[in-house]
Amino acid sequence: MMLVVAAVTGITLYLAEKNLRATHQEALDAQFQNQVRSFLAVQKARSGAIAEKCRELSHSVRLRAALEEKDFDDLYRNAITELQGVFAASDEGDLDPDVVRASFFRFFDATGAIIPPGKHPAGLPDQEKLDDALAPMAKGLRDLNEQNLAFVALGRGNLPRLLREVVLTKIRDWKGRNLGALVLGFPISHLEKDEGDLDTSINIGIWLDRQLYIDGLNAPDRHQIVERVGSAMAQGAGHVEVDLQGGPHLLFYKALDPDTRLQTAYQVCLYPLAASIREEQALRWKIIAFGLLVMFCGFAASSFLARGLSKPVDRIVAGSVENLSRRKIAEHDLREVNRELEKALSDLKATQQQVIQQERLSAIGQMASGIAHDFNNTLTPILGFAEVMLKNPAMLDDRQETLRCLEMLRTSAQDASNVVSRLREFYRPAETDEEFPIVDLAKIVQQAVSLTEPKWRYQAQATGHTIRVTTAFNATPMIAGEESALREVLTNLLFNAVDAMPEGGSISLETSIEENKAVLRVSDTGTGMSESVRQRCLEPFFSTKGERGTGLGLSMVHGIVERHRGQLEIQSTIGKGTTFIIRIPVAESAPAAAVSLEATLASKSKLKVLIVDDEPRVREVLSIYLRCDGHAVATAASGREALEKFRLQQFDLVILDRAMPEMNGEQTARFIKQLNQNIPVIMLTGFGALIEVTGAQPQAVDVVLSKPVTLDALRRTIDKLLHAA
Amino acid sequence: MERGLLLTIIIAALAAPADCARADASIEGVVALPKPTMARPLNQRYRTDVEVPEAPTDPPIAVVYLLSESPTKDNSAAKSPVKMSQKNAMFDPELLPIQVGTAVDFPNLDDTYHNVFSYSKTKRFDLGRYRKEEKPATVVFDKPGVVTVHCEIHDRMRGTILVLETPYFQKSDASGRYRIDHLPPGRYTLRAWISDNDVREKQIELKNGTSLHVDLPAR
Repeated sequence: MMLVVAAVTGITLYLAEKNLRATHQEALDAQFQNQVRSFLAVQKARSGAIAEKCRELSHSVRLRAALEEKDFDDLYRNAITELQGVFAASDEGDLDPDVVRASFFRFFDATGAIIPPGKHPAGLPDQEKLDDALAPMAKGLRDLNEQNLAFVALGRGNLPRLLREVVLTKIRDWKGRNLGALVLGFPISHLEKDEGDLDTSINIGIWLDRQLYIDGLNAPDRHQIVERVGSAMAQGAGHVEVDLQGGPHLLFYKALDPDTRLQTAYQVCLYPLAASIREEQALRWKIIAFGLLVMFCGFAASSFLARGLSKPVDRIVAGSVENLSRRKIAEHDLREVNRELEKALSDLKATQQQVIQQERLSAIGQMASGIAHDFNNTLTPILGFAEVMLKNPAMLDDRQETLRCLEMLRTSAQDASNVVSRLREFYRPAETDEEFPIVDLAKIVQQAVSLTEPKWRYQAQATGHTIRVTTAFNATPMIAGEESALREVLTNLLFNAVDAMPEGGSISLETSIEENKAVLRVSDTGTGMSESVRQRCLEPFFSTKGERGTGLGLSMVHGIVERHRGQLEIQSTIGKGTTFIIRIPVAESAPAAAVSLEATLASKSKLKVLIVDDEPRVREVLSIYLRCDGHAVATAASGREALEKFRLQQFDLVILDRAMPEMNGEQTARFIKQLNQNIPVIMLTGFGALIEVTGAQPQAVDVVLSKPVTLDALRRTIDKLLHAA
Repeated sequence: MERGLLLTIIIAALAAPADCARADASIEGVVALPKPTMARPLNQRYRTDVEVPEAPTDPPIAVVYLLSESPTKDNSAAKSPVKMSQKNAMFDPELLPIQVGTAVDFPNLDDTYHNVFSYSKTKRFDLGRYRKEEKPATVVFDKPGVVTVHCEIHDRMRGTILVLETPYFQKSDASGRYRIDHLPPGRYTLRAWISDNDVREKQIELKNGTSLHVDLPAR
């Protein structure tokens, strides 16, 4: 504590003194600059009138004529006449202090010699002294300006009253030839101290030609100043500190006429530092006193604190009753706080749940639009092929072509149903180890090319461009994958490629095996992507197609590839095209022979089937399916109708829809089972996936099938049911 | 009769110079003149309403005169005063040669004041300020020498009066040509004065009835 206080006091002391000194010096400097300014202003005001008079005089025809004729008598006589009011013949007399009187004047002739005034009173009769003072000026006459201001010292000595300010004005004849000069000197009386100023300790002087002209200094001080100023000027410093007998002083100096071609004069100002030192000392004592006070306060405070701190210890030792009740209050408070914390935590959890829900909802929204997008994609070939066939009935004559088209229709429809089934993803926890069947990548590629034909061939042709699609199967890798999803990948990539080639071009698809990975390359010769587009193109909702695009195609592709534990790489060059490279691990084992059931299920038995559905087209399709297999089919549009028919006829199998008006599938099934316990019931539902997940399979139903149902699935189910039965 | 009288008068008039029957020689030649110097315009001490010409005011002209070895007592000159007037803030003429003893008038023809004076040792005078209608004193130049005449008000005005101890003088033209007629024969000093610093001279002898050609080249 003591140390801290002492240190702080010390530092404060140091800083304050430093600050004070700097401030003081600054103040002095400012004062000095002001002094110089005012000196120069006064000087200018005083010399201004004289200088103007001299300039005017230099044009006097009489003076010129006299100089020219070397009529010096007339010269001085005329000058005295002309200088009336400027020049006082003698230094004494009742002079108005505000009016500057020149104390002498002289003429130089063209060679620079001083023309003696003779009997004329031109001031300063001591010609010898004046000659000494003016000689250097006269010598350099040729190099001087038309008019010059300078300081000269008259005789030896070092008092300011020896100094004169001098105005030298050249005189030229009518042709501009040099005739001589007029020199007029006047005292710098305002430099001399007034009687009233005696108490002012500031001393002002002039430094001229290595001499200091200043009042009231003794020889050693003067000597010291001369030396210090000389060295300071050599170093270019603006001020020096000098230690005179009267105490330390700060000395400032500044050139009064820096542009002169004569001897430069400096104003010198001596400021005694005694006052500031006194101030400094006073401040020092103040700070020390303050420091001591602080220290004392510190002691008092610390002892007080120490006593205060020891008290609680006493109390604990005492273990008073008061202490106990306080603890109870504290415990109560703690419980309160705890409760509040718990509440806050539950609030937080609720909020979190809400956030999660929102997240999920937005995910569903995204997924839904994704599904809509994919669904539309799968609808494209369905619509396309259907239209192609409807508009060209002649095509139907080509059996092969018709079959091909029909095949495509079926595949597309299957894909569409797969798309919808992906809604499951929202209800089923994501399977980390999804098992995929083994599929042939090359075959999927081929299918995708065929499926998208309506777009890349017919649509492009309609706009007058040609798009060529080439495939190269360098290998036919088998991979574990979902066929429809992979087809979707290819469909998307092909559509994108087509959209990227508004002027036509070619798309190449290539499969190969590299480093135990199935590699699929899809390249186009389209517009390509910039680097920024390439980096963002996988983001959902990022699209360059404007309103035509959803921004989901490539993000789907990416998702599917990831799901197959693959990687997606994109290479693109603006103006050249884009290549998508998909790498998916090659399946380890050969596919378990996906034997088609078609052969085995050549329907051993002919069954009587009752089909119940409120949708006539579904009834029709199912009827056709079953009749193709040789079954006898009866149909009912509602549960009521079905029960009536069931009562009247004998059936081997009932296939019914789940969602029907009046009586739904479950109720109908229940009634049917009541009539015949053993009859197999297959339920078709658009919500198949939901039932499967919730496990709420109606008791009266043997098998639930999702719509759309394929012939194969139906056959397999029937087979299974009847065999089991 | 009348005719005879008239003839007599004419003869008498013609005979008058013939009285000094010897004054029949003449001299001519060329003085090589220096190039004119451009005057530098200077600040004027006084403002005047008169336009001060910017051009040089002194195309150098020489005054050529003959000094007789035997000084003549002929003081017949200066019977009437000659003029050096002030016109357009210039002296007219700017260079005036006169014989000693000639009186000169300095009339002011301008609408402004002039103050003609000279500090020359040959003749100091100061006419003070005067206007057009005022008539300043006539100055008699009684010593030979050069007199520079100034106007106190117009610092560019500058006149030169050359006071000569001879009646035989002539100003050259601007190209330096001169000719002096009706000179008595005899030995002379021929001088050309261009400025105080440029005076050329030659000793010549004039013979009656002859014309001498003497050039005075630059030194």
